[in-house]
This record gives sequence, structure tokens and C-alpha cells, in this order.
Amino acid sequence: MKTDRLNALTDGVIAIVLTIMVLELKFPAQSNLAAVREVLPPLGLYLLSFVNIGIFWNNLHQLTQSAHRVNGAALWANLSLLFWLTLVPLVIRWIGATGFTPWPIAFYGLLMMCSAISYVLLEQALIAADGETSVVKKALGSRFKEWLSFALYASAVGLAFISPLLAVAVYVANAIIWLVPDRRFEESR
Amino acid sequence: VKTDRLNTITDAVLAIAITIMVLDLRVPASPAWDAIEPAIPLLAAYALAFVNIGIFWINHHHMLNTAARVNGRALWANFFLLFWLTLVPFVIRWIGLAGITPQPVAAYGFVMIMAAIGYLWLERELILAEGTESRIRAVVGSRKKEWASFGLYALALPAAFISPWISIAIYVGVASMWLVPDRRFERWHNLQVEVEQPTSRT
Repeated sequence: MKTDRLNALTDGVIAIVLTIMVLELKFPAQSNLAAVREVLPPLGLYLLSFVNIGIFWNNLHQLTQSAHRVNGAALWANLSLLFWLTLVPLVIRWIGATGFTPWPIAFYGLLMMCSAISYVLLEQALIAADGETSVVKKALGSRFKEWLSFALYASAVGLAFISPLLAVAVYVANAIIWLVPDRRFEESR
Repeated sequence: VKTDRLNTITDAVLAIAITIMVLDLRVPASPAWDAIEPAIPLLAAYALAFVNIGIFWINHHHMLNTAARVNGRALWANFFLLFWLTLVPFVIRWIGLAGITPQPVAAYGFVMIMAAIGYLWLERELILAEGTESRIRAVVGSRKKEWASFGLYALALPAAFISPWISIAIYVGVASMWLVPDRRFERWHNLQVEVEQPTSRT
């Protein structure tokens, strides 16, 4: 089975998630600096989320270009990734209501961590579907970056209860690691 | 008529259906565990609805991969299926407002039954469109799992009025039955690949 429908559903969901996040942002209640400052946390998280989801999409793009076949396990791993990403708009709304407080910031880390696991499971399933000739397997190598980000997100979930801002710093650092697109696939082609 | 446009509209509609549900979820009013706890049932309902639509999508994916062609009747059967699946976010919003109560939980079961009818109807139309040598007919066989889920959903509907939790247990049961994708189509597909490119799987 080809990858085209997996890509079609993924592009649809991610396009909608990226767009509906903006519905969760609130206007400043008044036109003064204090009111503007109040909407900055959800706005900042919106920017970070846009970048994070963009990173997932870019990586998926590279990954599924190198995969020739999908199977049921790959479709489920992908749906699981999409499930966690659809909850991102909810966290932005929550931050809008409560500011940078431990629970919503930890929840954000949990979503990113679960997305990261799902992504690794998807890689695994695509490798299995292509068998021994898998281009994906050859290109991915040790997947050090995947596991590093997973560990960073996991530690940030705990860190959020000590200092939410510190956890946010970890999220930003994690995004920076991935800003450079996945070169592994570009080299292998 | 080829299957690709039927697939495109299905992917687009289902992508929207599974994503806009999140707009109906509510966030805890304060960042404390006491406020978070009441938000969990709706979040769990969302997860179940996501999985259920995911199941329909994956089965659709596998079945259409095997289908050789579609006709007007198959397109309508597909729209019937999509219609009921688009009502899932609506029922989720109802559960969000009314909580785990008999009416919305029964409504969820009703939507699932109608979607299951749509899926069976689509399967039938695809088989008819393919004629006597239908690949799908050969692959799906007796459709025991389809009828079992149909029967279980029919049971869950009245059960919701005794206790909505019984129905939810049935919904979770049916979903877990389908978590393993339809191997019938995968087996068929792997055979095809071996026939077409004998070296590709060595």
C-alpha cells in the first residue's frame, strides 16, 4: 500500500491544527501595555507550537518520501502522532486562561513527548513495512536526535513543577535542535 | 471511474472531523488538580472518538486500496458514511455539556451504528461495481467482525439508559476489537506485491 493517503490525512490534520490555534488566542482586553503583556504568554506559545508542528511536518515529509509502503501499524502510529498534535490548541487556550503555570506547561511537554514517541514508532513501522531494502532504515542511523528530544521533553514535564519558565526554555532549546531539517534523508537520496 | 477522488474527499472530511473536536473540549478554569479532574472524562471521550474515526479511516484505506473502481452509488454510500462521522464532534460537544448521561452516550452509539451501516453499504457497492470477479468480495469473506460490532452497538444503545458506563465499556470493547487493522486486505496486498515484483521482498 502506498503512502499517499497517509500523507493526505496528515497534511489535512496538520493544516487545520496550525490554523485553529489562532482561534484560541485572545485580544488584549484594553489598549494599554499591561493588557498587551497579558496576552504575550499564549502568543509566545502559539509561535513555539507553530514551529514545533512545522518541525514534525517537515520531518514527516522527509520520512514518507523515503518510505515506499505503509502497513496498518504505520497508519496507527501516524494517527497517534496526529492525536497528540490536535491537543496543542487546547494547551494554548489553557495558557491563555492561566498563564505560565505548572500544569498546562507540563501538559504541553507531555503532548510533545507523546508526539515524539509516536514519531519514533512510525519510523519503526515504516522500516518494517519496507523490509530489508528500507531506505528509511539506512538514512536514520542511530536516531540519537530523536531520543535526545524525547529525554529533554520528559525532563521538562517534571521541571515545569519547579519552574515553568525553565521548562519553556527546554522546549525552545528542543525546537532549535530540530530547526535544521533532517539532513539524513537529503544525503541518502 | 477511479477511486482517487473518493479517497481525497474522505481524507479531507475526516481530517477536519478529527481535528475540530478539540474546539469542543474545555480547559480547566484554574491550574490545580481539582480543576483538572472534571475535564478528564471529556478528554477521554475525545480520545475514544478519535480512535473510532481512525478505525473507519484505516479500514477505508485498506478496502479502497483493493477496490478497482467506483461508481455513483459507491460515492453516495461514502457520503452517507462521511455524514455520520461528521456528527461525531457534535455528539462530543453534547457529552461536554451534559456529561456522561444516557441521551448523549446513546446518541454516540446511534451515530456509530449509522456509520457502520454506511461502511457496509460502501463495501457492498464496491463489490457490485467490480462485478462477479470482485477482489473485495473474495477478500472480506463472511464479514463476521462487521456484524459483531453492529450487534454490539445495537446492544449499547438501550444499555445507555440503564447505565451510560455499560455503553462506554461496549464502545471501548468494539474499538479494541478493530485496533488490529483489517489483515484480510494486507494479506491480499502482500500477495499482489509478490506477484508483480517477485524480487522486492527478498
